[in-house]
This record gives sequence, structure tokens and C-alpha cells, in this order.
Amino acid sequence: MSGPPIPIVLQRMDMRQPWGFRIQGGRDFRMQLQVKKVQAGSPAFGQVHPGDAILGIGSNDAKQLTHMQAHQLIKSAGNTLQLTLMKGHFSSLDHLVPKGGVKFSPWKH
Amino acid sequence: MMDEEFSDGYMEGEEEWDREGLLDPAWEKQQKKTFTAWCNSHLRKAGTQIEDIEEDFRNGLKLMLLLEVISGEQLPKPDRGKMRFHKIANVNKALDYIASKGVRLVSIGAEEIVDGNVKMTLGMIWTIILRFAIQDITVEELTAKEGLLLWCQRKTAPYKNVNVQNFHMSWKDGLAFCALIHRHRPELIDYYKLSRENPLENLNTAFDVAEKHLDIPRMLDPEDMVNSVKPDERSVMAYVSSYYHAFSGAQQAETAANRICKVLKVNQENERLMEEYERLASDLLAWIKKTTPWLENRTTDNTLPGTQKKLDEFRDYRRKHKPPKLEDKARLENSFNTLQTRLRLSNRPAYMPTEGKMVSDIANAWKGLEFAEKGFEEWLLSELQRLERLDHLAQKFRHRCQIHEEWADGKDGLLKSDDYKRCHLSELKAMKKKHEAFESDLSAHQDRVEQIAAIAQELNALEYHDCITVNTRCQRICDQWDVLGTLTAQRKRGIEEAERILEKIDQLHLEFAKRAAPFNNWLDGAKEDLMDIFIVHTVEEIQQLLAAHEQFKMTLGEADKEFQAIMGIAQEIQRMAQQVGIVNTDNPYSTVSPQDIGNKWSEVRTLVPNRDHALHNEMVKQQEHERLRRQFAAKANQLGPWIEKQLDAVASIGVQMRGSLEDQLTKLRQYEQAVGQERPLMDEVERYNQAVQEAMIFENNCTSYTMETLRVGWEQLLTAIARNINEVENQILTRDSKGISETQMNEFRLSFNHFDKNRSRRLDPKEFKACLVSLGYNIREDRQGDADFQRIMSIVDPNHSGYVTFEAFLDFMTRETADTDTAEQVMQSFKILAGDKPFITAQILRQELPPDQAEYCIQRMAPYTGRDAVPGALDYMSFSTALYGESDL
Repeated sequence: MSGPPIPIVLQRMDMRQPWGFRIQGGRDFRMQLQVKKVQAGSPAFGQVHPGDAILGIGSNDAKQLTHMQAHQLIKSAGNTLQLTLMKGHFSSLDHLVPKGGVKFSPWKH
Repeated sequence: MMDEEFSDGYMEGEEEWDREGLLDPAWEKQQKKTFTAWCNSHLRKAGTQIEDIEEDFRNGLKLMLLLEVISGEQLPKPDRGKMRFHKIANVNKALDYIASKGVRLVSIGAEEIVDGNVKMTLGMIWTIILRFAIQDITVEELTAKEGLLLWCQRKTAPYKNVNVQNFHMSWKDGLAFCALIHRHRPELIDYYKLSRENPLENLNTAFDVAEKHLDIPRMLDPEDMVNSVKPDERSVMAYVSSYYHAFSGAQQAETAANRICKVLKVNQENERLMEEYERLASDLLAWIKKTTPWLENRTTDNTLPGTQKKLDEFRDYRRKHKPPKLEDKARLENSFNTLQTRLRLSNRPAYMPTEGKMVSDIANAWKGLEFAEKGFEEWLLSELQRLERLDHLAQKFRHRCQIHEEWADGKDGLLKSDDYKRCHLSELKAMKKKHEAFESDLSAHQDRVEQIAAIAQELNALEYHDCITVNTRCQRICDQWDVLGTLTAQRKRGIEEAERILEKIDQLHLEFAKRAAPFNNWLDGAKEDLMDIFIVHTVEEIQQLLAAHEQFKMTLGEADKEFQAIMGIAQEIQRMAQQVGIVNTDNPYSTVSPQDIGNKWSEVRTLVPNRDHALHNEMVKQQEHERLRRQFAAKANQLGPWIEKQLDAVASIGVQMRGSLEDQLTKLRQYEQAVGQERPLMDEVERYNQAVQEAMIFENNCTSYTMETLRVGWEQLLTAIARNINEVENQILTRDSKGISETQMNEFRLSFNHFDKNRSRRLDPKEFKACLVSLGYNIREDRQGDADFQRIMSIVDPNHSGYVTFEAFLDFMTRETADTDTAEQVMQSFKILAGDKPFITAQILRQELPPDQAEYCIQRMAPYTGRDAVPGALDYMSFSTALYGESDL
């Protein structure tokens, strides 16, 4: 599921064009910054995926950033945005959940 | 499903058409008028119109344009040629587009439209109306036609003279149209002035108003409606559907506004709770910060009243100031939990209190307070005890000093006197003996002076607050003592020098002096003992004093004999002096006169019953103290075990899992009530404890409970019940909002409790992991498993507290697998209010939302900066995502 940190570079034509992804988390929420949604056909589409953890923005360590700081950094990046991602870090936990209903069986422990 | 429903409706229409369409040219005329108007109401948006419905659609161009306008979609490029096959191709493109929307076009061919066949053209337009203006109407999942009918019925229900049953006869008198308008825009029509008797006027009113104010063109002719036996159903439906679209737009906006309001109210309430938490936390921390140093300060002003005052202050703190703060603390923890539950349930990011105001910070500060408080009262009481002893010692000092000073008063004058140079031998002899007696008296007083000095030293050692006075007095006595010693030695030398000259002894005086001096000393001692100040704390101690006193009283008989004997000698001297005629019968050998002995003896005899009385009173006092101890002990021994039992019972409720959460809540409420009912007993014990303290009783062997242990137990019980109630309530909240069954709930609790080995009501990460595994979670014992588990921990413990509560566990076990994108819903709702624009204005917000929510939005929304921005445009998209702690980039 989660792998090594991967650097990616996004490009856009124009500062007014949105990158096309939604972020969640930040130091002030004590929650790893992560990708929540990606707009089809946007510069981010195909490179960034929902559930990716954002470890770095340019040369900044994302751990140190509040939500607003991360927001400003990404928004005010020029036409090139460098991100360091951990793929699928926050994707669904469904593969862990037992199939069928939850039944308590202490001897498994 | 929709296709089928629609096909049914369509087929039904087709049959009607075949059967009746040809029969009544009036309907055809009606449809031509209505459908033309309907088409123009859309075509005008593209800046064009039709005049003759069977002519103007023949080349297919306006038909394609009409479809583009009403669907908002792009159709294939039309063929521009004027040849018949171009026209057929264009009409076919339109028909293909209609078919692509799931409509079966039975028996309508492009050739017939191109040929200007009225029946076919009207049929096709009806198909378009049905598909694009009516099919989307869904009211409670009925077919489109029934849905539109139900909508009309609901909207006109309040109007007694309107009864919509169909789309023909029910509309003839025009009142139904007027009612629909009046229901939505009451200011446009004075409905109650209308009458069923004036159908033409009613219809004209409705159609005029609809055209002028609702932008719905006239599609029906009032005269046709009135004059036809049965108005054309399709025409009426087409026209009424325009009303539906005009009004349901408003309804949609209302729904959107309601949704936004609901979401914002949740946010506002959450923010209010956060502010309240911050305020409560600040107040509580400020109070703790202010109070702790006071408790840590273990100094007094070294006086009894000052220390007593401090004890009173401490009592106030324990009974008046601390309990409400403890309640505040519990409320704080509970509101924090409730807030986090609410945030989780409404899909909002977890709440992070300001630095230093975390629940753990408050718990630590409180711990610091309790640590500072520990032993404070004990220290204060022992300080009080020490000061009381000191006070007694000082009294004793003053008493002894007074006796000594009275004795020493004038002695130096006598010693300095040279009377021995001017007296007779006998007098000198006497003077010598008298001086010797004084010397022995002086040495006897040595002990007392030493005792006074010793007491003074002790007072200094115990840091008596007024040592200066004590030391000054003691120094004066010692100095005087030294002077007396020197003077005595000088006088002795003087008398001895004169003694060789004067020799005569008065045997009787000597005899008297011999016996009177020790007796007098004994009397002084007895007097001192009888007036001795005592301090006792137990019945046993006073009994010992009583026994000593009784023993003393037994010696009084012997003393009386001695007294009689001494007085006998004195009387003998008197008698003999009278015989020889000596006037001065003062005893030269003795400083003690028979008068003194007599006075002191009678004084001693008076002091005995006084002492009896004092000791007896003390006995009564000590017995009263014993009673106070027992009184306190009796209640304490009752309350103590009760509190312990309740504590056990409350603790076992969450663990035993008997019954539903509501049962548990009921039980907890009963415990809460039971504690409330015991409050008077607690107050009673407090009163008895105060009585004990006020009587200066420092030990109580009748009970192992102290007020301190009872208070702590009591507060623990209150806190435990409040915490349990809050937990169960939060569990109910979670259970109800997620629809968890009681069986499933028990399953969760069973597994949670199994791993909560130390009954702390929370799991550490290791226990939690074991618990998940036992519930069938696939967490592997490798790096991947560790990473998975870390992710789970970041969900269940966003505050990094290092443990997992049952509630967080429950929330995790029942979390929805598909993340509902509520930010998206809010955004969609704003979009509706904004009329599909990517920004919104303050004016629209104030118009659509209640003032409170509108201002909330206006204050927080950033300016919209897109290309199409107008002045004052606000960015509702970033605002919507921010509500959920997210940002679009």
C-alpha cells in the first residue's frame, strides 16, 4: 500500500488555472497533509491521487506547515509545482476490515 | 425505470391522439397556440421565435436550436443546404437526439415533419414537452404526470374553492391558476376577491400576472378555455408545467438555503462549544494558578488568631470554592468529549484546544493543586496545636514571674538597711537568724528563678511571637536575682560582725521559726500546685490529675495538725510576751508571721475546692470531647463504607454490560440521585467535623475515616457518576446517529472490556491492536501491518493522547466505509442560490439565509477572483471546503 516518498512535478499554463486537487489536514489539525480529491482533466489528474500523503511542497517539510501555510504555498507556486508524495498512504482501510460481520473471538489474540 | 414510465405515458398519449386527436379540431387549434407559445418561451433565449408551428420546424434548424436551448447541450452541426434531404437530415438529427434521451418515437418520421404534417409536428413537440419539461418532475416517485398533479393538489390544498382532479375541467374557472400564483407570490393577486362566477376574469388575471411577473408567456386563450366543453389536456399540462418550473426553482433555492443553514448552525454551535471550552479552561487554569501558591505557602504569622483565620480560609476553600471548580473540571472534560463526538459525527476535523489548554494540561494543573493541598490541613492543625502549647507556656511564664516578682519586691531595700547596727542583742540574734532564714529562702527561690529562665529559653526555642517582652522580663529577674545575692552576702558579713556583741536567743521564736518556715514553704508549694495551669487532651490525663489531687487532699489532715501546733507556739509567745510586758512580739527568727501562716492556710483551704471544681469542669469538657469524637465517628463510619460501595457499583456498570445503554443511564441517574439524597449526611459529617476542630480535638481513635478521606471519596463518587453518564450519553448519541443495534453494541463492549485489563476505560495502543485482531481485523505482524495500525491510530486518537477511549473505538468500528462528501453538498447548495454562478454576493446571502447565518458567511468568505467576477463577488467554494478543513487548489 504505502511506498517510498515519490517526487512529482505538476505544470500549468497560467497562474489562474487551478491545480485541480483538494487537500486536507495540516499541523494545526495534527493530521498528515493529504490529497482528498482530484479534478478530472486538471494538471494534477493522473499524477496525484486521493489518499496520497503530501510529505513536502517544494523545499518545505509538510509536517511543519499549517493547513493555511500549505494552501498558500501551493496556490502561490508559479506554473511549476514540486510535491513529494507517499502514494496511497491514506487510501481506504477496507482491506483490513474482516469480511462479514464483526464477531468477538478473544482466542485469536 | 424512467424510460419505462415515460414510454407508458407517451404511449398512452399516442393512443389518445389516435382516438380523439382527429375528432376535435378545437383541440388541434388549442395545441397549436399553446405549443407555439411554449416553443417561443424557450427560443427567445436564443433570440428567435416561430410563428407557424407546422411551417417553421420544417427545415429542422429551429427544431435543433430549440433542443439545444432546453437541454443546454450541443447537438451535431446542422446541414446548411436547402435541399429536401438536408432538411430531412436535420430533422433526423433532432429526432436522434430525442431518442438518445431514452424516448421511443413511435410512428413519427422526419419526412412528415418536413412535409409540414400538423398532427405529426404537434405529436413531436408534445414528446419534447413531455421529456424535457414534465418528465423531470418527481414528487414522491410517482410518474411525471401524477407527480405534477400531486404538486398542483398540494399547492392548492389550502384553497377551499379549488379542487384539482385532472388537467382539463379542473382549470376551466381559472381559480386553480390564481391559487397556484397566490400560494407562491401572495402579493401579486388579491385572491379572496375572485369568484367562481367570473371564469374569464380569473383566467385573464392569472395569465396576465404570470406573463408580467413570472416570465411565463401566455400559452392558453381564456375564451377557448371557457368556451370548449373540455379543454385540451396536453395544452393545460404544458402551461402548468411552466408554473411548476417557475416556482420549483424557488423551492430548490429554499431547500439549498435550508441545507446551508443546517450545516452552518452545526459549525456555529461547534464554535460556540469551542469558545466555551477555551473560556472554561482559561478560568479554571487561572483559578488553579492563583490558588496553588496559597496552598504551597506553609507559613503563618505565628499567632493563634492568625492561624485560626487561615484554617477558616482553608475550610472555605474546601467547602465553598473547590467543589464548584471540580464540577467545572468535570464539565470541561465532558464538553470536550461531546464536542469531539459531534465533530466526528458531522464529518468535521477534530478540535485542537489552544496550546496549554488541552484536557491533559488541565488534569496536570489540577494534580498540582491536589498535591499542594495534600497535608495542608494537617500542617495547619499541628501549627495550631504548637501555638496553643506555646500560649500556655507563656501564661505559665507570666504567672511564675508574677509570683517571683511579688516575692522579690522590696527585698533589696531591706537587705541594704543597716538596722542591725542599732538594735539589741536579742534583736540582732534574731536578725542573724532572720537573715539566715532569708538566705535559705533565697536559695529555695533559686529553683524558681531557674525554672523561669528555663521556660523563657523554651519559649525562645519554640519561637514564641513575643520573645522580646519575655526576654526583657526574664533578664530583669535574673539581674535582680544577682543583686539580691550580692546584697545578701554583704548583709551577712555585717550581721556576723555585730553578732559577737549581741547574743540572746528567744527559744520560742526559734521554735516557731523552725517549724513555720518549712510549713510556709510547703504552703507556698501547695498554693502553687493548686493554682497550676494544666492542659490535657484526654479523659485519662484529667483522671490522672484528679488522682494526684485526691492524694494531696489526703495529706491535709497532717498539715492541719502542724498548723495547729505552729499556731499554738505563736499563741504561747503572745501569752508569754504579755506576761513580761514586751510590746513588740515580732518574731526575729522568722520572716513568716502567724498571720501569714493563717492567711496562707485558709487560702490553701479555699483553693482546694476551687481546684476540685476546675478539675471537675475539665473532666466534663474531656467527656464532651469524647462525645464529639464518637458523634463524628458514628456518621463517618456510616458514610465511608457507603461511598466505597457506591464507587464500586458505579465502576462496575460499564464493565458488566447488563442491559441497554438506556438502562445503564437510568441506573447511573439513580446513583446520581442517591448521592444527592446522601448530601445531608455529608453536610452533617462536615458539621460534626467542624465541632471537633473547634473544640481543639486533634486525634480521634474511634474511626479510621478522616474528613479529608471522606471528602476525597465523595468527590471521586460525584466525578465518576458524571463521567459515566457523559460516556453513556455519548455512546447513545453515536449509536443512534449510526443505527447500531444493542447486540452489536454489546459485542463491541465485550471485546473492549476484555482488553481493558486494568479497567481504566481506555486501551493503550498495544491493547487496542490486540482487540482489533481479535475482532477479525487483518493487521499483519510486519512493516505494512505497523503502517496500517499507525494510520488507524491517527484516526482514533487525533489528539495523540496515547490511548483509545471506548467512544473512539466505537466510532472507528462503525465508521461509514464510503466517505460522504459533505463539502460537495454544501457547495452544490450555494451554487443553486448563486444561480449556477461560481461566486455569490452578500446581497443574495442576505436575501436567502437568516441574518445570523448570512453574516457568518459574509464575514468568512474570501473575495472571488475568477475572470467573471463582479464587484463584491464572494468565493463560496473555498468557504465550503474550509468548513470541513479542506482546500481546493
